[in-house]
Amino acid sequence: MKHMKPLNKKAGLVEQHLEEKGNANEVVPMQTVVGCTSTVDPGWEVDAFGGVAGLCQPMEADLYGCSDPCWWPAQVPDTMTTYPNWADGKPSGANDWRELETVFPKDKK
Amino acid sequence: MKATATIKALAISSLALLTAACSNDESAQTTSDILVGVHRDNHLWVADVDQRKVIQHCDLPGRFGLGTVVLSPDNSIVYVLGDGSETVYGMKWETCELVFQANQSGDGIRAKSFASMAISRDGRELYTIQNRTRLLSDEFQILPPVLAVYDTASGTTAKPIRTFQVPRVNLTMAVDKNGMVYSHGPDLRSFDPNTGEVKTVLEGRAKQVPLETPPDGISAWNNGNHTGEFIKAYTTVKFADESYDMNTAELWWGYQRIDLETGEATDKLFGQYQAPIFSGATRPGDTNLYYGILNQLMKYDVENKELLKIVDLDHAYYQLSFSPKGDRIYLGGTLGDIAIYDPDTLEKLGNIELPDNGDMAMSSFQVFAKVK
Repeated sequence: MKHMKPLNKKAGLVEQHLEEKGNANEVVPMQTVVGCTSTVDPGWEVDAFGGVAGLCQPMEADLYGCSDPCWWPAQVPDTMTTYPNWADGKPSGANDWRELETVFPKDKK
Repeated sequence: MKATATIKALAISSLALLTAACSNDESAQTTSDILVGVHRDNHLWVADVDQRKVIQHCDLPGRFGLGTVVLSPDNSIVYVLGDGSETVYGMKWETCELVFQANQSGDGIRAKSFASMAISRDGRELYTIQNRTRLLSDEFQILPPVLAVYDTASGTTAKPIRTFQVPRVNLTMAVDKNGMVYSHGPDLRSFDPNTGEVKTVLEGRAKQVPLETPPDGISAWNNGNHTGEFIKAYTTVKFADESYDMNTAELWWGYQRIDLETGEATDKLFGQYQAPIFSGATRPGDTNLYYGILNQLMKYDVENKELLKIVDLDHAYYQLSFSPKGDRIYLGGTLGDIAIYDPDTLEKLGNIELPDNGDMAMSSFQVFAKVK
């Protein structure tokens, strides 16, 4: 944090945490993390070896498996909490993926 | 003496024949494996493996997800962790009648259970681990997670009859023969559902083996209730020396397992990494064979730490479950079909398509044998 200065309360808490605990290894690969928590597991782009063989095949097989538990909320809408109705009426990821839409914060209901 | 001995021998052999006949009758009963799970949009499905078709399909209340399921001991009631992992529904699958409901959220607190649900051996108590957040107007206050115990006779307005604070991060759960509740989290933990006592049974994150990284794995599918095991596969990196050079390191698969009949805990490496495993199981009747899946189905010889066979699957599946007899493998999760495989040859024996091809996504399914 040498070159950064906290501008609000939350950022101040981050700095305070680092001062108190240092760079503790709090995020460990996978380790049963689930539910909109930082996951350093590789995403849909590459697997653990920089390839794609280790990713779910095809991608659609993993689509709702990632939205339902909020596994990668940046890549897939979080249907567990934030966008619960995103996939309503589209039961099959493989058949219905064309009908799935992008989401924006203003779409929250 | 001789006559007495002959009579005794005859009596014993008659008894043996009678016993054999009874056992043969029992084993000769024709059964079919029944699979029970949930899928999108929000339905309970029940499939008969021999008929290769779905025989019951019920609408579920609330909304879909994650969809962990457990069965009552008599296999008549399916408990579903649904409604965004906030509500437990108990449904009689033969009639689609809702007989149990526990709303875990309420009074300004949102409670979600991530695959954390199990049922006692007598079916009287249901256990969940609730991850709770108090929703305030200007902040979300994280509360300690609790083990919640429900009376399954509570009907559709069930409230916990006991709660105990537990450590953070818990996924799948199971109950052993003596009533101890287990959870796969960063460590494999046990919970006494009467006193709330928590023990670390097998270390995970805290495990330290020289030249090995701590185990890393996922456990989201409760696939061993009917076969008596609670198992999670993990990977570890084994370094050649203290230079910790990844170029000379090996990636291995291991598992942490509880025998739900004896409570015995096992942690062992079973083979070198070949492909990802999201769930797996040892074969009923031959626990030296371990099978795991994601994009491939793999069969390992545990003692010899050898990959015996690997085959590509039609698509990724999350959950592998054995038939109760150990003669078939059922694959589910992800998309809207169940695949059936032969555990000897790893040949595919067939598929069961779910209505509308509705995805199972992260939900789990259970297996039992039903007399025809």
